[in-house]
Amino acid sequence: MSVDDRIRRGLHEPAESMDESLERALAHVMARGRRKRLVRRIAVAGVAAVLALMLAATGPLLLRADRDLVPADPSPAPSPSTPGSAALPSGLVGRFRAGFGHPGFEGLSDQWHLRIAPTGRFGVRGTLDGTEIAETGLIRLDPAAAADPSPLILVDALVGDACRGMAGGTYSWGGDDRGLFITAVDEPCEERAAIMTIAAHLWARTG
Amino acid sequence: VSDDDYAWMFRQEYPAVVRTVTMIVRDRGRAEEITQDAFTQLFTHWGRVSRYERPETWIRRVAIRMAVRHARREAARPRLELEGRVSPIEREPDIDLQRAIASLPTAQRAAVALFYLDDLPIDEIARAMGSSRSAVKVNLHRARHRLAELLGEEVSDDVG
Repeated sequence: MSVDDRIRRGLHEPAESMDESLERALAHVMARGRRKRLVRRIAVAGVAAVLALMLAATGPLLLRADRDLVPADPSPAPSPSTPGSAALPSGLVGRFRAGFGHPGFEGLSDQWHLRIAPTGRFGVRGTLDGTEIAETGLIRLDPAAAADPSPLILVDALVGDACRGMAGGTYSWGGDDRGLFITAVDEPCEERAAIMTIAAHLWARTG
Repeated sequence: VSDDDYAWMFRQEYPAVVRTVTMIVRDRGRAEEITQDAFTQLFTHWGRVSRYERPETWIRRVAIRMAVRHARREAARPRLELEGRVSPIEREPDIDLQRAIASLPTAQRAAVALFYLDDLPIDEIARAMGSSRSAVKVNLHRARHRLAELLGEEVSDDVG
């Protein structure tokens, strides 16, 4: 039996009847939902009332102040996601290729490609189970590592919003004109770690 | 839009969402709490969400993200404290399978639940988990190989 058959068969066994608990849960959820709706309506009404009072009291002042406003500087603020100004070390920049499995990734049989620009922008692409997948992200030097010879990099902006709200992952790396390895040191986001370590941490340089 | 419509949606979707969430959090009681929290959110937003083409994807997405967050918080707790709580769905007959799935990392477990239990395509799993298609593929791939190893089964070439 294939593992897929085993999983499907095992998971699709008839579910127990939950009619009684279903109705209890429905009653509980609707009661809670009604309370929340009520609280929200009261809060909205309260805020509206306060705003109306404030407008009545300060409206003339606001209108006068509006006339005196100086146009703001129209130049946009720099984006926090702009690649860092410090260029990456040459050992980290370039095109790399990897393929074939390692103990945690037996099915990896196709070539995988990694390209890292000096700005830190990078892309990973390859084929998995017959499907092409690709991800992009940003690598920055760990500021703490700038003065420290131990090489650490921070990796950010990967895999949709799965890692949103989490700090960037920290990886150690080493590389020369032959290849590059990347290993997770402190990575709070599982999805990002899955992509970053997809090629057994070892990439052969192709350019 | 009436509460009757909401009740109908609840009866249709609640059992399936509980089963999926149970696989992710590995605790039936906690899964019911999380699912009820998600359905409470649905109730408060029902006026808007009921107009969506597929409101059921909204509730599933909310519940799954809450479950994944909970499972990751639990995973960060000390191991000894967790051990007593890791209880696969014991009513299921294939206990070995349940135990094997319970041993997977959270993202892999969630991918398995959504792919095999809910029969969702990869794109929808990615949307539900707030992840990318690539990450879902990788997690599913690793989960299948790990489960095959634990269960002594073979891995076929492609799952979709």
